Amino acid sequence: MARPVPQQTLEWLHRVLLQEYRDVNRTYSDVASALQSYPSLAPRTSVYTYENGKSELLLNLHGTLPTTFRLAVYNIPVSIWISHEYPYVAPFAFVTPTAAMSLRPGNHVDTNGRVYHPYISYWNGADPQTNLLALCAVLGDIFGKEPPVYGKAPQQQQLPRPLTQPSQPPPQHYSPQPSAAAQHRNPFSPRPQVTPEAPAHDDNLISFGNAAPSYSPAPNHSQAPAAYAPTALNLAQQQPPTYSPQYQRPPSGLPAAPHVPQLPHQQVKQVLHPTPPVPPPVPPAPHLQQQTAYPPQVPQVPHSQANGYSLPSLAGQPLTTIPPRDIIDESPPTVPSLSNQPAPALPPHPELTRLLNDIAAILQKKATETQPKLQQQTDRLRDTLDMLRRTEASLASEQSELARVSDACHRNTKTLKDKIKRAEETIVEASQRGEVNVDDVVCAESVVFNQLYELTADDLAIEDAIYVLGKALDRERISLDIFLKHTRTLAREQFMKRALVRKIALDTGLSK
Amino acid sequence: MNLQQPYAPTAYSSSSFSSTAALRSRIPLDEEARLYRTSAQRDLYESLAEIYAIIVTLDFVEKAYVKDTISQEEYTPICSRLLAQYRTILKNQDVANEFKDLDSFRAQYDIEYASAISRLRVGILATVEHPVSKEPGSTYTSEQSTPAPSRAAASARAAADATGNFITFMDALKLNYKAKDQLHPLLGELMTSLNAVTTKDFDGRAKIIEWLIKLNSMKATDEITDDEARQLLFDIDHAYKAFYTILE
Repeated sequence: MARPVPQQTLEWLHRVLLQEYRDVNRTYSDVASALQSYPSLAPRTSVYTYENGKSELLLNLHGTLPTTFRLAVYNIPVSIWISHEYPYVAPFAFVTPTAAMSLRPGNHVDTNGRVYHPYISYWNGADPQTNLLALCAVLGDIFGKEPPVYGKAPQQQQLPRPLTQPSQPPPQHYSPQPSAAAQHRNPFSPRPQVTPEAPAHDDNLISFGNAAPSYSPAPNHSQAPAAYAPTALNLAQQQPPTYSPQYQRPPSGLPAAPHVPQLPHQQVKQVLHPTPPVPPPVPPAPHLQQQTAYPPQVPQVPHSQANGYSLPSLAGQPLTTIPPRDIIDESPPTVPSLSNQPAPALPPHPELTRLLNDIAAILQKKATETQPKLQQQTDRLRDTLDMLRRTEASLASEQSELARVSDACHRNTKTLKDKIKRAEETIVEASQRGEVNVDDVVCAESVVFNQLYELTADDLAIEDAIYVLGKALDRERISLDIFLKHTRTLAREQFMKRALVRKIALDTGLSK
Repeated sequence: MNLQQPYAPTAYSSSSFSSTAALRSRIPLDEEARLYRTSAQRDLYESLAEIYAIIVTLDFVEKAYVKDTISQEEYTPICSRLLAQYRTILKNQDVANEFKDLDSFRAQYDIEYASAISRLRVGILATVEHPVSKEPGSTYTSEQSTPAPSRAAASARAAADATGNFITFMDALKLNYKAKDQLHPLLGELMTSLNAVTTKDFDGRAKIIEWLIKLNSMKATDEITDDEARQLLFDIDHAYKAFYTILE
């Protein structure tokens, strides 16, 4: 019955276990030996939701267990979950009836399909003899005594699910959260794009002081998903498009080996590096960068344009302005509008010009001084805003949680009150009912068991009768002959009854 | 999660035992069960019932004898009758097969009755095993007024009987009689006749009783080994000589 497990499966299993499992070696060896002995079981990872609402991604063995019931072999579909704390926590076993079967709750299986057994409840993880293989054997044993499922055609054997290759696991249990354990979900990287885009937006907002979010670390993210990069680069189109040729080349050369979990790191890096100023490789000559933080500059630029002067470019600013026009080297301005005017005005007073320049310089200096402070304040305000938003979200969730709990409590109280009232009514009714004949009440469910009750009662009654006869003989109330005769008769009868009790017990399986 | 219950909390838990018992049962539970279906089975069970009845009765008789409820004159015939009936029933081959042996019968049917069992194992009556003299005075004082000549005649006769039985038994051994069903009756008669002569214990008497018990515990077709036969012969011979000595 054992079949060697494919090497790929074992490697995948080992990789998965290394993630979050506490005792990797023990879990690995137990699971491998169970898979080997029961080739109808297949491993996969899936999200398991506990009764308290928590969900975790756990290793799950699913498939069928062959069991023998009344000389026929049935394959019962089961699903066994291995918790992260294996082997200190017992695995959970469920019976998962297919569409053609119905679940049969009984001594070991409850209405949800959960399997109960003393082997599970007295599971001792420290003992290496307590392992999955033994659990599967125990399950097969109890299912053979009490089949947990029944179907319309119980003779048909359920096909065990085919053993899936772990490199293409069935996608129906994919966890949408980009958690670290979802490493092997290769084909599903395009989905979580929504989340990375939002931080990228924020990047752009925060880093308005820069021409572009720094994609220079992009070559380090050699595994950035191909789908992500073009989108983020599209955002970068708002920024100088001359950057794009340079940065489009690295992403297209990226290997298509997406790693979803690296995204948060990427975003984090980008958020952390909004500010290394990347000097524009090519000064975009004809661009006028209109940034909203420099309103004081905007009116001045046209003003200086009108004057024929432009302000010197600010230090540390990748903002460019029109380079100052060199009036000496240029040909005299042919300003057609001026020719229609009267004689040119007097050149401005040099003192005035100087004063104006000074004032402009001072104002400029003040602007540059206050800019970082304003920047800082904006940052702080932004942080506070974020924190407030987050707190608000968590408060809202807590509030909803509390509301839910309170609702549940109310419902429970109401149910309890109802039940208590009904119980009290029943008590009153029962006390009014009066005595009941014991013989009528004590009865078994089937004819044979009733017979068993009667026979056992008779056996013991005859025992008592013989004893009393013996006592009578002792006290010489009866003579020896009578005693002997009656004792013989009674003993014969007693034997027949006892023999029948024994026969019934053996036949119905009550005793071995 | 180690705190979970060992058995499922189903709504049917109150009747789950019988429903699973219904699954496990090899016979249908809807009609009455019967002990036997053929008359051969019926006879078998009735014979076993007879054995059981004998055991029960024997037990009470033993206890009554010990408690002095019945005298030894009442006890002896009843007990020997019961023992004879027991042996007769067991001669039936079918019954013997079903019965196997006393211990397995006891275990199967939950039988206690220790006194009866030990009596059946030993195979001889209490009055034979530990004889009580029927003659008043022979064990206590010899100053009783009983007619001496009739007593003498009776005891001479008994002594001759006993001697004859001794010789018969020893001859049987020398003729290589080894089977239980050959030796046991002879030894039983010897014992009875010895008791008729005297109840005084003589050297070797215990040995005879021991051999009697041993023979009784064997099956009818069992044989004693050569070593045992020699030992038995020696013991009987020794007892004969001792018996002779106490005869005055």
